[in-house]
Amino acid sequence: MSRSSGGHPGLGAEDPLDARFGHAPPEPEAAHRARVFDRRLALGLSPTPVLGLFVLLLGIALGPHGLNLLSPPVLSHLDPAASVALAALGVLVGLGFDVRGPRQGRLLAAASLEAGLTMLLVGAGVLLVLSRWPAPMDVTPWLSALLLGVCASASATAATDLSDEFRGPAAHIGDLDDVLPIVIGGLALAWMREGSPGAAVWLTIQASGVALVIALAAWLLVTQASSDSEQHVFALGGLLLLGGAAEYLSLSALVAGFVAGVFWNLAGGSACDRIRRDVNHVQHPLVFVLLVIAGARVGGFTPILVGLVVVYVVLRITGKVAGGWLVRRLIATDLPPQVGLRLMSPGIVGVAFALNALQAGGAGRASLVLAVTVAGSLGSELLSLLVRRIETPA
Amino acid sequence: MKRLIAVALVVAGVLWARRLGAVDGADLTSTALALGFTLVVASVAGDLLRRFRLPRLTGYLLFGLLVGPYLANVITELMASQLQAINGIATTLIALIAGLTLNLDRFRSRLAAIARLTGAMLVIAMVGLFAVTWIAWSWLPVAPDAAGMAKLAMVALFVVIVISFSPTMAAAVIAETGSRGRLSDLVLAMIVLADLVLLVLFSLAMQLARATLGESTGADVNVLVRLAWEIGGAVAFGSLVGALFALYLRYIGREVTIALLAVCALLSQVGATQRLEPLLAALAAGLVIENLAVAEGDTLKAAVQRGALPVLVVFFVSVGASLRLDALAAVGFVAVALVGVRVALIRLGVTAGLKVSGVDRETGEHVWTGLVSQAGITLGLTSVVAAEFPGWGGQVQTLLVALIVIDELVGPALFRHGLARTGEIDATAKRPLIVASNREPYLHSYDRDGGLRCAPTTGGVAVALDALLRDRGGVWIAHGAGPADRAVVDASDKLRVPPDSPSYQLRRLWLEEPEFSAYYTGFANEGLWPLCHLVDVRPTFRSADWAAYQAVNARFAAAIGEELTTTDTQVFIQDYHLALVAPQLRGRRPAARTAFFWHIPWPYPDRLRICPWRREILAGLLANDLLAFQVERDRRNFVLAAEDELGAEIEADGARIRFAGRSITVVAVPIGVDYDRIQGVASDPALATEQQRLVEMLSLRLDRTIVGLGVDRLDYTKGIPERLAALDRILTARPELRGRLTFVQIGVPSRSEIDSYQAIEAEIDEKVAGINARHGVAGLPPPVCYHKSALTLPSLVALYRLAHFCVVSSLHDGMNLVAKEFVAARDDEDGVLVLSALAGAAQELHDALIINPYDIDEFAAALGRAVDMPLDERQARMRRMRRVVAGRNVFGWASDILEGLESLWTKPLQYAARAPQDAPV
Repeated sequence: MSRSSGGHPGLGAEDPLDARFGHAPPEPEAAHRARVFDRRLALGLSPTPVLGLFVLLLGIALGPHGLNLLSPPVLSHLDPAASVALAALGVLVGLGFDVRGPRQGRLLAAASLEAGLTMLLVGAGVLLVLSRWPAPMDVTPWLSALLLGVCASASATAATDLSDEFRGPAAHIGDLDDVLPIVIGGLALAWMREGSPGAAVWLTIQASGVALVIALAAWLLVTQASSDSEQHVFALGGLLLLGGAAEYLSLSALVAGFVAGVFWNLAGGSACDRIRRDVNHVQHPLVFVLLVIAGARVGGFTPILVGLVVVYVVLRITGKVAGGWLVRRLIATDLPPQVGLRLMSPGIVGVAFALNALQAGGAGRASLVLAVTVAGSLGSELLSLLVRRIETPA
Repeated sequence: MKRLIAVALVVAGVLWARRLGAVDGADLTSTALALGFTLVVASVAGDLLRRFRLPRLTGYLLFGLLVGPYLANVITELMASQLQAINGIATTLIALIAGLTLNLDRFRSRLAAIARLTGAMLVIAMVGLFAVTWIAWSWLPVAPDAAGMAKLAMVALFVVIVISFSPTMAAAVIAETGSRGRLSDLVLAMIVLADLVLLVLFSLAMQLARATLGESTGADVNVLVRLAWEIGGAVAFGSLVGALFALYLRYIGREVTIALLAVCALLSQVGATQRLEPLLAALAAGLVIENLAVAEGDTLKAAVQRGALPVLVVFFVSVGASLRLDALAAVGFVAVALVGVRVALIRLGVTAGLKVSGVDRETGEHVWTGLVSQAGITLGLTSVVAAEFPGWGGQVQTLLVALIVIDELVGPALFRHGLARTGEIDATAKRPLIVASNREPYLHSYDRDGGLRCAPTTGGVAVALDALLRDRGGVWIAHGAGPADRAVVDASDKLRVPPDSPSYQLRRLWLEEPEFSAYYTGFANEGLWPLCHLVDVRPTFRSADWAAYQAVNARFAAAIGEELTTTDTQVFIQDYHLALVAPQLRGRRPAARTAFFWHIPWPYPDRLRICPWRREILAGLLANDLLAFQVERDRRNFVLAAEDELGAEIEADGARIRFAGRSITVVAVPIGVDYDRIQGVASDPALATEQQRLVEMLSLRLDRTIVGLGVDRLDYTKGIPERLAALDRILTARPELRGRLTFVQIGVPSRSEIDSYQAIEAEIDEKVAGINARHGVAGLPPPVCYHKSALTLPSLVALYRLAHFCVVSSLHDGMNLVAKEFVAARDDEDGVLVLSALAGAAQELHDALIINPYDIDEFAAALGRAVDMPLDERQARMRRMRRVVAGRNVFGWASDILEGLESLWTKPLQYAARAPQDAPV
């Protein structure tokens, strides 16, 4: 997905520094695409996304179970960057969250229905598997099922959507279906920490309050900044505080970022634009680091894990297709017939949330969730690519 | 106040989070939280200190000290240690920036002289300081009991660190003051060279210290081999990493941020684990990148410096937080004495160096002012010593941090003083300007008695550029078109203008027939003008016209080349007549700094293909450093054309184009009017008399007449026939307006030698006659009062003030200043502007009644709305439009472009303190 004015960043949205250096001489098609990217960037449009899930494979290769260049001590040094990356993702989702118009509200309802259905299907499937073949972990099967359902429910828009100007309602649903998983995932992490639903809700509300206070402070500072450099510092400082507070509380940095993003979006004005610009500027390297860490944190695979991955991929795609069909029938009749297929691409929010769960809950509690999500996301992405290739005329 | 509220909110947020607590109440903390808190609050603290004229960096250090474990304990020891984790990368980044600053090409001719000056300064300063330190060692709070080789090693390390300099601070001062010139360049080059030497010496001294003090390797290790490894290895390793990174940037250029951080981490970690001096390696890497891949190095430098502030803030805060306050208080007096000795020895060294180096004395005698500051490199070196030798190294760190704090307080102020003394600071230096335009600012003619008469050219642009040149001095080069122009120039075709207070030179070029007609009438106005305006007039391109156009542009370039005395003189070229000046000029003066403003629209790429010489024109324009257009659409069309026709490379932000090995900035800067001058005319008591004269001349009856107004050159792009058709339509539809509505059309004939202009004049004449015949009422003013003559500004303002509404109906127009002049003249906040959506002004004046001149019904309806609009709506709209016009006058336009041009040379140093330009430059 690419974002220029709204929504959260797609996997691999371009590093702003990269564009300053031009591009390598690639093969003809890639050269053509690079030229398109450059022109669109020159015109202030968003670049086409790239399939950055391959970064996950890089992480797996460099991690402790691969070359061990990213050893556990190195990974622990990188963990703060992951928290900030999660907050940045949340912020960008929040900044793109606008349901003030009736159409936007309808799309949010459609996206939530589609995401909720996927969450339910994947959660139920995982719960069924785990009740028959228990996996070794420190968390109850149903909580694992909920976490995996949350991870599976987010999606990216199709890579063929070049920019906002070409994006249809399907693409917007792809953006908005991250909201429900972020909220439910935040509650799930709080539940994991507190052990009871009531305490989890109360803690999430208080943590959202912390995020709001930080967001208000950052907004005030950015409006008062006297230079570009200072704006950049305050925006980055805000991100660090959001991610850091969530990390400190072992809660969801995605929720913290989302709350701040929604606040900034509602506050509007030039400060919102500047924060959006600065967050967009740093999100690429942060997301890159996040994916590398997520890949490196994936442990070895066992038969039960492989089974869960298969269930995850199959039910996720089923959920997306069925969800797409359902929302087209019930809520948004103007959606294209293959809306479900366009939502197959998993994006990065699922992987990000799984890593968030691992950081908040510890390896014993969420390593299974991360491993299944990473492998499942790779599988879903491959299937999504296959479907798109079949769809695209030669 | 808002900043303090924000800081209070941040503190509240952090405390709230801490109250909610970490999991299971464990004593955990978060590195990200500590970093965020540090970054935000320290930045505010740094800004607070800046208001007391203290450097921001001092603010960061003091903040670290204040909130660190020894005072407020907001940053606990655990958090402080987490902050230290990024110090390795931060110091490496600082050294990398320093290396990126030294472009050998830039200093090639002066490198030997600079090296001699640096060498002499270093030798004298270091030898002197070594002697003083050796003698005073027992009084220094470091290791008074040390003796022999141990003392030698300690003193050597101490001297190297005390002498070291700060490229970061020097660059920050230069950026903050907007300075550029020989002193700025000299100080930066000397600092980088000196720090390079000092890093080598530091490695030598560290080896000596390790061999004699720290580690049990002394007897069995070949010190020379280790030394060679540490220094040579560091340079080689750094060079290798730099070369690989340069290749990576050039041929891959992906994930650059990640790669940059990885390079810093690599240099830091491998340097530390393999005993290679990381700062030296980073400096070498920066040097190699900057000089091996110049374009990439420049881009990287600018990008890194813009993003370096957060890293520097955290670095300085972490150093502040790690200071032992008690020890700092104890060493205060010693630090002050040390600062005095250091500054005196550096000054002595520079003075001696000037005698042997060949650097000019006028510049060189102020160099020492730029060498006083100390910051990142010095702190980095002390951190290394403190980490390796925790005992006496910690004492050295405490003492030297006190030294740095003092140097930071006095250094920037001293350097600023030095820059001011050499005239390199904006406020004290007026840089001359060269303006090139087809039209000249003053015309000379003969009066009836044969006497000479000088008349200024009217028009906002001429007035603005004239004012700029009056202030800055310089030369205006233009075609001498006045009948008496030749009679008043000197042997080099120049004269001093303005006549009342000569302050700059006007150089006239004599363009003779038939060349002038081919260049001006032919190529410029029969070719480029219709090409760039989307109206139904076919452009005509002839080879002979093109040849004349090239020749005239070459003459302008030659004249500019002759007038360019310094490389930093700005050249401001005007409009489509002179598209080929820049490449010709660059052939003569490769380092010329040129800005070009294209006043008319730029066609979309398909239309541009009509022009047989489009590529030459595009390439010609891309030979400028900065290209400016009226509106974003024109800028975008140009960028697309440059890419399509020339394969030029568009940079990420779309504001820069790479072509022929150069980077060109392309921006949209809408032009404005001379608002204050129009205000002055509008408030002049003589205006009433002029209005009365016009009322009588036009036979208006203000008590019962609604006056509409159009002011145009008689040009087919202005949509005058469409305007008259709309007028015809409304008078037909609303007969009650006959006799009540008078439309005053001022038409200034121009380019009448061209067929298409003759045709439009005839068409307008015919339409006016038709309307007046159809809708005229006997005894009352005609519906259209048509005057084919130019008006002076007072008459024009008087007319603007008489009009109930003004119509601008261009079929295509770059900006159209009549629309803005009308608004500027209406300080009574009345009047309605009917404005074509196809004029650039429509993109700014949203409160005008926007019309499509091709849609006559809509146009007529808008005229009706203008006639009927109630007073409160007229006033509300006019107030909003006046705010827009007042906020962007013609002086702002000119200074935006020229400051934008200047910033192309100063921006790479702007990460520190320079205020942003929010204007759309």
